Amino acid sequence: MKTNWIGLVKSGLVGMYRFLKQDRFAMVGAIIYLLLILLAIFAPYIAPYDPHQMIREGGQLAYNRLPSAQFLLGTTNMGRDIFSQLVYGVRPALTVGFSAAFFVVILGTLVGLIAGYFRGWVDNILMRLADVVFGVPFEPFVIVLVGFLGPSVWNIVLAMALLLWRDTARVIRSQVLTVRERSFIEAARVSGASHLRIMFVYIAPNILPLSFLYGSLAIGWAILTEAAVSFLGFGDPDVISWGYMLHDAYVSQALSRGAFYWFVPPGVLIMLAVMAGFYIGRGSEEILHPRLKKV
Amino acid sequence: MPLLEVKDLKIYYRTTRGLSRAVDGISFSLDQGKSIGLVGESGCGKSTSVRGVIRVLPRNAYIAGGQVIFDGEDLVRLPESRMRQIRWNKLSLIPQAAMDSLNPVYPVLSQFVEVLCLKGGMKRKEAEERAKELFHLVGLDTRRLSCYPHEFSGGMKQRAVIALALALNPKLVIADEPVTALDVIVQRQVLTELKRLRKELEVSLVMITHDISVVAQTCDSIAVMYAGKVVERGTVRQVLKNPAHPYTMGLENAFPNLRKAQKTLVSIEGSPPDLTVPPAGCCFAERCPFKVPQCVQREPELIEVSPGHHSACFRLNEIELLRGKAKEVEIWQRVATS
Repeated sequence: MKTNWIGLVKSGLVGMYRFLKQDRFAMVGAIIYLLLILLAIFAPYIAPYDPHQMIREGGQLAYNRLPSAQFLLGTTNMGRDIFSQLVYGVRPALTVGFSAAFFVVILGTLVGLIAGYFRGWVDNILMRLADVVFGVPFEPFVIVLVGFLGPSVWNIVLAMALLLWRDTARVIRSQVLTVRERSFIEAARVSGASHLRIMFVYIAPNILPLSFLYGSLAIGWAILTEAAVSFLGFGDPDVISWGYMLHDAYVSQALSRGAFYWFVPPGVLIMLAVMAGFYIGRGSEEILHPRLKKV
Repeated sequence: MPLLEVKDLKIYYRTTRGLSRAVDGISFSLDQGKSIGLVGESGCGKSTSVRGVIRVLPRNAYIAGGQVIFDGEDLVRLPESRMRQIRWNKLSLIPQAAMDSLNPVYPVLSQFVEVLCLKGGMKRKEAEERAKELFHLVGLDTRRLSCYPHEFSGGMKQRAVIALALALNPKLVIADEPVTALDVIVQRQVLTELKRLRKELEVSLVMITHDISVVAQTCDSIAVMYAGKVVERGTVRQVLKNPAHPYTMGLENAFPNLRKAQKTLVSIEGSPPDLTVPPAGCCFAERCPFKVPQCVQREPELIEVSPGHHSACFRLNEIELLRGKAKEVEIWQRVATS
């Protein structure tokens, strides 16, 4: 069935369009993502300044400026352009979001597939491991890991990949358990199909929608976590993310100065990005469980 | 020489309550181009016995003895690799739940092509042609080949699965309750189709069902199973017209008859014996209205009543009398109260 992967992708895209068209929430989510992606790609053209640059005017540091035509959202206490930081902040958010979601989906799906397909002791080991991981508190773990391995965006991604696979794996496993008992799997088994072929060619496409659902939720989680960790000051100091901006605003007393133009926009963008992930997840959930629609 | 000869086949399940003798020494044979129906109630070992024949048993089941001679080879003793060559190419299965037998994420065509290419060694183009041919054969529109299984109705899926079973021109097809999930009208269509295909392609058929009328419509001979044993076998005519085992008589009472006026349907009271502790005597004795002391002491063997017609009952010499009595409702109800 090699050639059909192309057909599958094609029909998947067509299906995606139809799905977005019928579900308004998913459409909103998709549009938000599209805008954020465009913003990330064209950041250098949109942002008027380098986000790291301390802007000087006639030898004077242009710090704590109010929003104006020159500085759309004002400047920080170190004279950096807030609007430019906001625009460049999309990049780490999306990188973290998508790469964490990618690893979560891959890892969770693999573990779920293997545990559900082989059952027995393999299942036992993997699922007890998942139980253990479920007991690990998420954000403290990320902070400790980043503390050990050094502050970097990729360590945050690693921490999330190490923990967030648990939900996906559990759900995928339960789905695999039902699919593996169907007759077409039995037919494949008695015809001599290998374990790998059965798992990836026959079972995997059946559970992929669930993986994607968990992936879209993981994007939101990842962005939120990165923001939280950066806000607490454990983020990558070289990368300007929204969480870093909030941290910066917090430590420089922006709150008490009433500099809303500094800390509100990154907060709103974090919220929008996370919301978009959940909206898409919500929409695809309705496809998986059509009964939700009636409620 | 018959195409399929099952001799004293025993299949046991390992359960938490001990060994369950699901199939306990059944024998039947089938000639090339003929069809046989295995009938009996749920749990009597019909499915297990044919799954033993094609060797796709659940993990906790094993073949405890006997032979399955198919086309000159004993399937029980063949290595798995040879068995794989036989399955689908020479011996194929129409599974119980056709609805569940097609993978929902691939179009039907690609599922046909996969089988034809991998098991039949065809090229893609050839396989597509053959798939069209097969669809035509079972009366499906070839334009629907590119559809996904969920776009098919139940009857269409069943037809597609039958076509899939016939894909590589097998000598023998085993149909495990092929029409149970369908409504009566579609049932009739599918059965007629199956009968026609069998004649056209000269394949042999083992049909499993709990519905005697299905066997009457499609099969040449019949084997009635009860509690893991064949209690009566013969041609459809012999068995249905002159049943020679009380269980068969009871079964017939439990089905409506179109031709004869019948007031009430009589069910056989009680339930089949626990197969982890099989009864010492006749397996049906507990529910049999014609039980004599001998029945619970020894196990009756299959005895030839007339040429080709066998029954396992001690009272075969007075079978005419029993047949007459079996028509009375009270006699079956008395078993329940006693």
